[in-house]
Amino acid sequence: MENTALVKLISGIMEECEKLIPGYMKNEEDRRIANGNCAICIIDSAGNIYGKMYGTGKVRARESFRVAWTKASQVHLTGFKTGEFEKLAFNNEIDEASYGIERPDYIGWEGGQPLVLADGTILSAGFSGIRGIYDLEIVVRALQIVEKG
Amino acid sequence: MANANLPGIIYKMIEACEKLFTEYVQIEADRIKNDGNASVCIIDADGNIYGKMFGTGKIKMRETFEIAWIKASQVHITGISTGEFEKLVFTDAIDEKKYGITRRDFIGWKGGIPVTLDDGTALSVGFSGFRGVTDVKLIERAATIVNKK
Repeated sequence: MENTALVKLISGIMEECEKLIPGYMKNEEDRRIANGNCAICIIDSAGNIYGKMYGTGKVRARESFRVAWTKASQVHLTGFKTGEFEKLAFNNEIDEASYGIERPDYIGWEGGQPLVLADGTILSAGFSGIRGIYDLEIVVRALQIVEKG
Repeated sequence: MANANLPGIIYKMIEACEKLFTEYVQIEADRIKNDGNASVCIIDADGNIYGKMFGTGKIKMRETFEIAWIKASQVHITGISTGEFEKLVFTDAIDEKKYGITRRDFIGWKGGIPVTLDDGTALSVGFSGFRGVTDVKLIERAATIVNKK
């Protein structure tokens, strides 16, 4: 995808996530994690990094971005969803040494995933601030909304 | 966001950083710091994050972005250059509690600075990969290039 179009699409994903966050905040289990101070990180194949911290708590949002970045960058290096990569590594189903990440640096949590765009472009995405399954879901939903136009 | 052109200006600043990276990476004392890998991270007042990893070593690039991000986000919260903030804290010149960052999370190193664009827009910028003084110099030069355009 041409860079300008890619940047526009990524900005769209981040905007849609911002609109979707209030819906997740209706659930106490998600609200109590970061009280809406969530963050997203997206990395493209050229090493460009795009992100956004949501909410008004700068310190908590900073922590959310640290986790979102760690998730996205682990996907950038491995190509696998976070959590799934660790399962494969600990079950000796992949040669983890080939990825260069030390075990203490594995994030472990869900919320990092490769995003395949309609034209085949692959992005590495990480979201943090709600429960792991929804960290994954919110980004997928945002992409679907943006791609539907 | 006050300036609708801000993302474009930030992308130009990242381009300027990339050009300057190719210059500083020729200097042995800087190149050996991270095997010729470096990163920049820029945060605007609305919590939008922009960055890029430079070099060819994916693991080192990841490490440098993490440091660049910590530097930029510390500036985003404090408004004070990294290294300088810690000096002020440890000489009791400021009340560190109001910033919300615990001491063990202070980055300590130079390379995170507030940047003000010609139109008054404030950015928090972190660079990592070279010597601290070089990280700062590179950001200052990139800001000057963008402000001249």
